[in-house]
Amino acid sequence: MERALELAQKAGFSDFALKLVEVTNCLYTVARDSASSFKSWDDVWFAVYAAKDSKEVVFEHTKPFPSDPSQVVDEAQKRIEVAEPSPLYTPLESSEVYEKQNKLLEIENEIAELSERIHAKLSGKPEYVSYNTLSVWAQNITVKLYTSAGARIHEGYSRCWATYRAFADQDTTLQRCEYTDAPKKLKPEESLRSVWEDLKPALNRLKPERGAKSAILSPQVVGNLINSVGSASSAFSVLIGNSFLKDKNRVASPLFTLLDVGEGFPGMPHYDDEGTKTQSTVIIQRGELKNLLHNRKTAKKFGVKSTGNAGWISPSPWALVIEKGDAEYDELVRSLKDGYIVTNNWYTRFQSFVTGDFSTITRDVTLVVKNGEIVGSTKGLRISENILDLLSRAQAVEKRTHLVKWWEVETPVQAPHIMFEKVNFTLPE
Amino acid sequence: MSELCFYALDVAQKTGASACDVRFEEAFSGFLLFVNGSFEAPAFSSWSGVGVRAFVHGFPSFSSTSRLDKESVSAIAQRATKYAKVFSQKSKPKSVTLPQTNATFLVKEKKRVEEPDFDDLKETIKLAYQELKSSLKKATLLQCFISVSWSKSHRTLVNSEGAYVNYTIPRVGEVAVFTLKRDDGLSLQKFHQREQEGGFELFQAAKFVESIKQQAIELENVLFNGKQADEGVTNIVLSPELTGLVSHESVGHPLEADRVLGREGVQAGESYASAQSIGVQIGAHNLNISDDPTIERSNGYYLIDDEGVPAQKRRLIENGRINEFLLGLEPAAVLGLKSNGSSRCSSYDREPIPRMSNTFFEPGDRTFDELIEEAKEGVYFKSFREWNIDDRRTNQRYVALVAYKIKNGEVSEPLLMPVLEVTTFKLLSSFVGGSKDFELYSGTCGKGDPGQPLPVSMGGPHTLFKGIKVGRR
Repeated sequence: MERALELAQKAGFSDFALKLVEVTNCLYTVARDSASSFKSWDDVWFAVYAAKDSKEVVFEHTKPFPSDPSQVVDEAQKRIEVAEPSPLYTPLESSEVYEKQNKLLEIENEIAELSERIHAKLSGKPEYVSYNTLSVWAQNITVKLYTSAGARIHEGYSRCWATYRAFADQDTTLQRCEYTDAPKKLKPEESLRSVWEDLKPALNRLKPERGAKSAILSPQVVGNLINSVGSASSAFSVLIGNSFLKDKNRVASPLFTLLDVGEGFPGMPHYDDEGTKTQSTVIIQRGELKNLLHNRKTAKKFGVKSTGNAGWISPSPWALVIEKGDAEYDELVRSLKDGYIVTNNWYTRFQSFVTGDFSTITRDVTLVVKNGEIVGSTKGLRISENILDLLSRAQAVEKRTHLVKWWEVETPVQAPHIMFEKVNFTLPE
Repeated sequence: MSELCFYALDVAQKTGASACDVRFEEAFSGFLLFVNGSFEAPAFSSWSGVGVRAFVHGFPSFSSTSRLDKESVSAIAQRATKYAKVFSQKSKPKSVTLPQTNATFLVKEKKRVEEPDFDDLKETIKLAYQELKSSLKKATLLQCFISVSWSKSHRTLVNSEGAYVNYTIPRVGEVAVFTLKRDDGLSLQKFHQREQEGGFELFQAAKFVESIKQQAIELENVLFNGKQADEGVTNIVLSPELTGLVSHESVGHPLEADRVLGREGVQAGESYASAQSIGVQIGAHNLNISDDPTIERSNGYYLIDDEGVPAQKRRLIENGRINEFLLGLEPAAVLGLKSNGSSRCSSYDREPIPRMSNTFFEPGDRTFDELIEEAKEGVYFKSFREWNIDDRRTNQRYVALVAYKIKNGEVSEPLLMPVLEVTTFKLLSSFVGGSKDFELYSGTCGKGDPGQPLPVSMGGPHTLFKGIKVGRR
């Protein structure tokens, strides 16, 4: 890699970055209480960023780095011919040197061991649970980053997440998820027990009602919606005019504080793609938009420092953390009085990323609260809202947070339950 | 690379796989992106690797690597077999029979995707942007991205029954996203996507520029002249774009056999259909919806699926009844059926699972004007932006981007974001008929864990539904 940088300099590139990544993945799924698939896939790939005369190009190849590095530089020479000068071009700056390889997981063995515990627990499911469907995914990642500015980063980290979904019948379901940095830390027994327990009061099925209602959104729902806020907080999204945070100041209730966290969050890297240290960045503080997420290019354009969220072209969030509040979950339910607890959602789609108008459909049961108590569940409701209007109506925040990552929450989130007033629920005819 | 595939097959069989298949893929892609008047850094990628799927007692275990050496390939073959043995003990045994297909297919291209004319592409993109801007009379253009992409994938499949399949698919695509705003702040955002199998001859500059311009003119008209729709029960006519989306979301997905069997339960969800649903009436007696991968030049075209089963047209809904599922080898074995060639994988490092290809309402016998006349009063939904559907595929919503009022049997003034929020069964049973015209729209279908985005198309004729509630956003 050092040789490739030397050759790139000789070839006249002002900036050159090489990133080598190895990812081993292991995913085990259970459908209706039976093993349904086991997948393991090893990806090795390298990516190149090259700049010359303010022109930039990126390319990547899913294969090992070639033994002859001149191939990579020759390709960069050829590819950059296509580029036009970028108005955002900014030289690479970081010259950080870092080497720390966390002990990587024996992911296949750990998943196999975990599967024994899962199936042992499943064999004791309560009578009212017809079946369970779940998945456990573990990942080892190693990254080497070499840049012409002098950054030399070599790090390795692991992460895993699990999703458990219990079915009393096809319409009475509940889901939990876990996220951590090692399969051994997952607690399938506890997760399955709690999902089964919480499914019990949902067996009393009630008719859904459309209209504005007070509602508690679970960490899974908050996590899903906040992923959209995370994307919108990329300075690149704001710069190109495709973010509902553009030109905004107050964007949420004063109870709402949102951070992006790299280093310190389980399974996150210490450095970004430009060799800048990852950090905690306050995006929204007590309802006010404080910072966007930057790489070096957007940082220069906005006159700030990089927040360590590169992406060579566009910055993006690492993990999103919503600050905890001061209410116990039971207090939230009591103070909700009459309303819904939305346990899960999916298929969030925006009418416009500029305005933030969206709808999302509830998934699994929505719990019905009457006089501060859960009295049953309902199904089929859709939330139709504007994301900023909704966030401005946060009324109370749980004092506990939960780690969330699953199929519909791509960026990991640490979130509490949050109570909102006047959430607009719709129903089909 | 065939030797490496056969080697993997050999290792898997010797280590105890009762059946196995091996896929090799070599592919590349390129991408030009134009954002608000200037080009972003062009992006290029390539990928290649081998994936092995081993079966023990019908349980599939999948393993892949992008290291193309014997040691790495042997390791994944052994690993796939090892865990097929381990986890088959936690699964009901079944008998999966692999096909013996020997075939090759190649999607032809006149202008090869290996040789883009970059100057020409960039000029076309710039021209589209200029035409879009100059077509606007009153609206402010808040943002605009235009991209052109191209790719080619060559795949080889071998299996323990002697199948040997090779195919090559080149592809070109275009995307445009733009937002128009009124002075009072109201804005509308358009997402345009078009992708086809073939070479750069499919990217026709003049057509592309004109299409973007016309879409901008139409959107501006809705933005400035659109009125709120009257809420209530009425008749609706869906364009081929909306008709296609309904066929994809409400019929194609729920009839994927793995969903029917609960395999997607913690990801894309289950289905309103069960294993016993074949023959169940869910729509009007003249409703026919199909999925057909054999339509040449379409975005979901293939002749052999990724398990080596010859492709065929699937008549998902026939005369309003569920007629067949989208089947791959494993779910077919569970259901006691034969695969109908619906298994696809997005790349070498993903397992094949039941997927759609080109999904559509079959055309009808009316003209578009006759449909509108028959509707008499109602709403014509021409394009959409926001949409979603529940994970059993019964409760859906489509918010129109471009829509018109139907008044006295004619298309009249534009409407501002009317909402169609309806159950699958209500919608399909309210189907009256379709027009003779037929159009497919390209899209990217999402499913699987890890995710497998796949090129598909969806469409059909214009369709008329009576007695449907329309709301406002």
